[in-house]
Amino acid sequence: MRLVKLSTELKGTHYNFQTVKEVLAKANEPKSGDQMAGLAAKDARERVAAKMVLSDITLGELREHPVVPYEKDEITRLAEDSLDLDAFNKIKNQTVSQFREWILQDTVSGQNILDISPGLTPEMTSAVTKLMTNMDLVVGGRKIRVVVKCNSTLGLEGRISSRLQTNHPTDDVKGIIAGAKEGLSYGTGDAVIGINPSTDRVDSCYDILKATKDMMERWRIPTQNCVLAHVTTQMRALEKGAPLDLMFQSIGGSQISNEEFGVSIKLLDEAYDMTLKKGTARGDNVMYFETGEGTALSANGHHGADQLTMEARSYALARRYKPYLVNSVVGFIGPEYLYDSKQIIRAGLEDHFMGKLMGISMGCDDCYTNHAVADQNDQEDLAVLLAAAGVNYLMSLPMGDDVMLNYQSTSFHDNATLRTIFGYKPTPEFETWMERMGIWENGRLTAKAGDPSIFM
Amino acid sequence: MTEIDKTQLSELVRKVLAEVLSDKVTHTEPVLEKKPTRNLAQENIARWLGHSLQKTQTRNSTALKLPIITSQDDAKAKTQTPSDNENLIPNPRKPEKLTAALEHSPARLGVWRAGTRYLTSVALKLRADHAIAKDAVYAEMPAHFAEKNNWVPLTTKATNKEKFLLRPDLGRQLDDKSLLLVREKAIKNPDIQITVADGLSSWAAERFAPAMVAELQKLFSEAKMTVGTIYCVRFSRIAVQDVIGEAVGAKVSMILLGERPGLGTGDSLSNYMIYGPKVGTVNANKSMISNIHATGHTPIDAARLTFSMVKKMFEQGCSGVKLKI
Repeated sequence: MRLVKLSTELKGTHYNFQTVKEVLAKANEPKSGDQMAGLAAKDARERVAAKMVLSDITLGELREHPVVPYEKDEITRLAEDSLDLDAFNKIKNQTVSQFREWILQDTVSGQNILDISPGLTPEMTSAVTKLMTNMDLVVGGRKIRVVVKCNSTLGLEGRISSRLQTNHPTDDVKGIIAGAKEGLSYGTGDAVIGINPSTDRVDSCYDILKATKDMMERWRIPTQNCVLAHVTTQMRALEKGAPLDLMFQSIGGSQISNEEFGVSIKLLDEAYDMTLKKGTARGDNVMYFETGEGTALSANGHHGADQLTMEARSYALARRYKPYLVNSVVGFIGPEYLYDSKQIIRAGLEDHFMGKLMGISMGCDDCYTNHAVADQNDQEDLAVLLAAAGVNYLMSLPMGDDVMLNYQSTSFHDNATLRTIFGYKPTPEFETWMERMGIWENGRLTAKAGDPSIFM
Repeated sequence: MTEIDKTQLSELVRKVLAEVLSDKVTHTEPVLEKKPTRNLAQENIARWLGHSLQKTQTRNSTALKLPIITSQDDAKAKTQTPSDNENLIPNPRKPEKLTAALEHSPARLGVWRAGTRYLTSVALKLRADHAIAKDAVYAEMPAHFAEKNNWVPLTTKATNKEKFLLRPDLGRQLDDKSLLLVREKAIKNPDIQITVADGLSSWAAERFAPAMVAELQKLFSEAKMTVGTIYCVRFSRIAVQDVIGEAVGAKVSMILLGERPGLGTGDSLSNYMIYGPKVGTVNANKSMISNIHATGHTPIDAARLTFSMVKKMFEQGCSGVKLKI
């Protein structure tokens, strides 16, 4: 193994780093989580010095230096053992700098990038992201179209979708459905009708799946349903015959952070197999994962690695299951990990780009909590940027206000507005359905849109 | 709300008042008529009396509750419960069905649009509620709140709000003085250890924890289960209960803690429970009940739900995702 060069000169100062992991951490854009973990660069110059060192490291070298040792962690083993060697061999000699420029070349298509994607480890993905500006992330992310099929087709160019998230404080299905109908009347919910239950119980999971499915059948809505309970709760509901299209789980980038969530690769494998066998989905993509920068650190499972790299590692786990949906819940974790809107916006763009680069159908829960230094305007900014970056889907809530989880995300109106601004359409199946319902005509909403009683 | 004259209104108020008050005594299921005016009156009266009159219950909850909130700031309560969904949609296809549907959710529904954007009034209401939530984050438990409830006050290593927000690790550890106090003075090896904490909303702890703790004490003592020293922790995160639970050797530990404020609810309380608490207990091994507030679970309901979950923890010897409920 060649010795990796870990030092550089910057304007007369010599910088020397001890490990690749340290270079990765210090090359990260400022995040309060990395600062709390004591991993961040101590000043702006050291950050740039780390980026310079990182730019000269090859992708092959990054493969040899996973941030968590192979022996210690099943995500590292998964990333290494499932690596596509043909794809890897095509890129292994590129430096991170060259890889960034290759991605951004006009002559390199999204398909070219997807062809080498199975040869990427999460460390490579995270590394190149650290050398990208926000606009780099937009243009790079926009190129890569990851198209997936469940009951409908998500991720096609010129289209943007959304997850209806009409949660209710006590899981009253009538309240959930009332909200969902209003969301549908704005043309949202084409990615999934996905409800977070307030208590993790098999019966409420069953009831919500049944109620959403009944509505989908009654109005012939071409979308997916999902209840974001723990994977074992959904499996029990499935065993009882609940109609479930997508199986959900929150995941993290290390074995320890997944233990915090009560899951392992083995358990996720079982859930995946069971959903393929017993679920109601018609297509092959039947999984839904949520992630977020900082979750590994919050579970004390970050192994001294920065939160961006840990986030990329959760995508390495996600891609094993060819998911229909993956999104980071970017502003949910709070100011101790992403301090303000600047950090949240940066992380939202990074997560989307990294997900697409790793070949997964990436959306975003563009959100903030009330104890972060962010507000509605910041959140709308990120929504516009993500739409420009070709995000597969965003969340869709009544005025963006989640009355159960107590945070703010994107609204019915925001999703409708993004389609107006960018001329985007819903999934093809959903578009046809909206036209049939009289709420969409010539690529825009009709005067009827916004009235949920058309579904009553 | 449709127009009704004053005589009708006072008659309605009198009837509903009588029903609500008799419910307090008899614990019967509420009679909810379909007339929205009547429901609103009933709801408002219940709110004045400190009831949480929930039309939207989980199947396990009893529908009408005993009085629970002893003092509720009316102005705050109203701004925080946007369940008064007024239909702003012009000429809906099915107005009656729409009105009925909107009653089932406290979410911001029936709001209509200007193009694809919000109407000005609802946009400003959103901003007003956000302002309340922001202020809730920075509110603190009043001095002597613990003592007034006969709880023992403790503090963490987070010495102020700013530190508490940016350094969750400090909020998970008791300071040395508090730790010593727990180790030396606590009731040891109780069946149940109860801790109250501010978390991200001290308002939640102030408004709902006293009633919930009282009901829990009653339920556990009736079941001949021992309850340890009750602590109240300032600038506290969830994991403080791991420290306390382990130090006192509790069989089950629980922490009643304020969640981060949302727009509709600046005062939502949760209860996190652990069977066999130890420092570093992973979240997957914790059970929880969330959304204890004026339009969610009442404290009494939450206490009963807690009690039934704790019984299952003792039967199955576990908590968290492994617990079958």
